[in-house]
Formats: sequence, structure tokens, C-alpha cells
Amino acid sequence: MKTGKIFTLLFLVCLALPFLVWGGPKVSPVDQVKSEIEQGLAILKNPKLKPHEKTEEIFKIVDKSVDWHEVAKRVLGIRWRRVAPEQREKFTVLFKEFVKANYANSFEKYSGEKVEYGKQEIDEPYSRVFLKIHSKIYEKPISMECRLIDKEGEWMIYDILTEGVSMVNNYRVQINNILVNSSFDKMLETLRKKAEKLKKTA
Amino acid sequence: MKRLAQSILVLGLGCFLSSVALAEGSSRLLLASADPAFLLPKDQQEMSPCKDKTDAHRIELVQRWEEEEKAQEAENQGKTIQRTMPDPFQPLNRGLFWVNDRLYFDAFKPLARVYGLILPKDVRIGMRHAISNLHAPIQFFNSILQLKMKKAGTVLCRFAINSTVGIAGFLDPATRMGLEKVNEDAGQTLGVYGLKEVFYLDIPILGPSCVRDTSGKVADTFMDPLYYLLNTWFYVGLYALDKVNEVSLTIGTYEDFKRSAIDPYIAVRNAYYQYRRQLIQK
Repeated sequence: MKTGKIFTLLFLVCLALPFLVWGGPKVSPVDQVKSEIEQGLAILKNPKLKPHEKTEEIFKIVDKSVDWHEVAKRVLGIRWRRVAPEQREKFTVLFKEFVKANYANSFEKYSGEKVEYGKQEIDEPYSRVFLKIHSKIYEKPISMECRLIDKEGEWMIYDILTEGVSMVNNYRVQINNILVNSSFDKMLETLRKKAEKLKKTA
Repeated sequence: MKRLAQSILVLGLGCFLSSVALAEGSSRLLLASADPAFLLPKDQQEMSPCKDKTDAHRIELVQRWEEEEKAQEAENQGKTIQRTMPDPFQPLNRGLFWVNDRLYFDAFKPLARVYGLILPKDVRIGMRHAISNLHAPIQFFNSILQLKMKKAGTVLCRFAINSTVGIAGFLDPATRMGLEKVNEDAGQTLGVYGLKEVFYLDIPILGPSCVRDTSGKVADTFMDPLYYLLNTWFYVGLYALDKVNEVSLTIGTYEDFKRSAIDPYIAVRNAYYQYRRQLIQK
């Protein structure tokens, strides 16, 4: 009788195994984005932290939630497959550095804007989370969309759209425009110089 | 008489731009049937494998290009890759972009700073609501033209509530009642009926635009009852006030955007293209 029960239990475990092995994200995309934003807002509202500490803390969250490889891949678009893996890696690191340098001193500008979490759309392995930022200085709430990809059971951000303007798409066009007239290495150099300039002015 | 002459001038400009739009559209369509790469914006045509190739190779190369694009599309969540809009007059537009940039930093921004010192923020927000409320007929007519009846109803209700309870539109109780501001214009109406951007235009003071949206702006002027009620100088003055008021409330936004760009001109052009596309799709 006891062996029967054990076998039944084993059978049930075997049935459940495919579901347990399937590494689909446990947290819903909207909950994940919400948790990341709430953590970020808590840092911004913390009066004990100095501006550079706030930036460092927020970048830790950004590194955990953004898949820079996916971002870089989409920014390069069709050229991603045309360049050598080392160049792809160089570009990924440089682009990440550039974006971070860009936002390094923008967190100080936070003035109590509220975030409204909207619907989510899942189309495995992708998902989209819609947000609205309520700010008094703009006539209407700002619509935002986070695009995420399922990476080993975790939703990672690969693009952010503000009022329908995709960050990835915008940079892709800018980078393509450089690549039309110059080499890949020159484009990397331009990006590096820009990142350095941003760091100096930060 | 003066009003009639102005109307004829504006109408003429509108017709000219529309005819340019249609002519450009049809010629592009003919060329596109021979070479799909032509449909790509100028800066990306260079990337096309069709460049400097004989006809024998063209079809094969275009097919390969399309296959590669399809693969990329699949990679990009199955969504069509958004291209940027054609820009045949890029050198001229870059010059005008520089003019607008200087106008912003040397004229509008300092003016808006002084204006912001005189008027408190809440008054400026009220002013924005009031001016926007005055332009409600433009949004109403365009919603009707696009057969978006729910939006037309929202505009009507917002106008009635904000003009009365909202004290001539200075307050915005309608938004608190769940009636969010509608953003429709003739450029979007033309877009809804299939007219493409044709090409990019950077217009002094008005900023980024395209042939379709510039034609739309002309049409919007005719839809605006204020154009017929006010003296031309008052009408232009109201536009200037709206512009300075808006800049005073959003100082820093353009600066941040420019700072984040590798090539600010391309970044603004692409952002404008994407923004208008999503407005038309809404």
C-alpha cells in the first residue's frame, strides 16, 4: 500500500517534471518591472544617499534588469551578423558605457513623478509592459513601454519606448548613419569619444 | 480683402505641398516596383546591396536583402523594422536644424526663463490648458474625419466641461473625470488615409515636420475658428505665447534629448518619425 502511494507520488512528480524543468519566468513581466521601478524610486527618495551613490545603486538595478547583449544586437540590426564576435563584444561594452554615461546625472532631476502600471502582453519569449508617467510639466501622462525577453527564466529589458519612440530604433538609425560613411572601428571610436565627453560633463 | 488674400496664399501653399506629396508618392511607387531598396531612406539605400550592380544581379541581391531583412524582422519580435523617413534635402534640413537649435538656445529659452520668473508654474499650466482648450475644434474635426467618434465625443465633453467648470479652460477637471486629452490633427488624418510622410522638413520655429504634416498644419489653420475670429497678428501672437509657455514648462527636455544623441539631427528626425507613426496608429 505504502509502495503504491510512493509510486503514485513519483508518477505525479514525473508528470509535473516538464513544467518544473520549463524555465518560464516565475514572475510576471509587469510585476518584475514594477519591483525594479519601485526599488529605483526608493533609492531616489532616500535622503541619506548622496547623488553619486544614488546613481551607483540605480545602475546596479539596471545591470540586473537590462540585457545589454540583446540591446546591442538590436541597435546594430542587420550589421550584427556581419561583424566579428569580438567587435560585437566591443560594441556591447561601449554602448552600455555610453548609455550609462548618458543617464548618470539625470536621476537628480526626479521631482516626484508617479508611475502607473498598465497592462502586459506576453508572446513567449517576448513580453511588453505598458506604463504611464504622471508629471505636472507635461500636458498628458507620458506613455512608456518596456520590451522584455525571457532569458533563462527571467524577464530582461531590451528596449524602452517613450511615446512610441523606441530607444533601440533611434540609436540604430543614428549608428547606421555613421556606418554608411565610415568603418565599424571608426563608429566605435565615435561612440567611445561621446561616452568620454558625457562622463566629463556629468 | 486682406483676409481673402491671406486665405488664398495659405490655400495655395497647402495645394502646392499636397501636389508635391502626391507627385513624390507616385514616382516613388513606380521606382519601387523596379527596386525595393528605393523605398529605403536615402541613408539606408547606401546599405542596399543593389548599389552599383548590373540588372542581372539586382533581383538576386534584392531577394537576398529581403531574406536578410525578414530574418532580422523575426529576430525583432516579428515586428516590421521601422525605417526612418526619406530626407532628400538633408544638407538644407541640417542647416535649418542648426537655425532652430540656435533659436531655442538664444531666443525661446531665455525668453521662457524670464516668462517663467514672472508667471508662477501653476498659472503657466493653466495657460497651457486654456490655449489647448481653444484649439478643441481642430481635434474635433480631425476625430470626425478619421471616423473616431468616441474621440470626437471626448473632445466635445472636455470642451464643455473645461470651458465652464474649468473656468474658460484654465483648469482641467475633465481629465480628473477620466476624459484624457485627445491629440488629433490633420497630419494624422492624412496619415490615417494612407498618405506617407513623403520627405522630412525642418521648418524654422515650427521644428521637425514632413510634407504631409506641413500640409496638415495648413489644413488645421482653416479648421480653427480662431483663425477667422482673431486678427492675424493676434493669432500669430497666441501661437508665440503657446510656444514660450510650453518651453518655460519643459526647459531641459530638449537639452537632455540632444545630449543623449550621437547625431542630434538624425535622433530628432527619427524620434519625430516614430512619434507621428504611433499617433496615426492610435
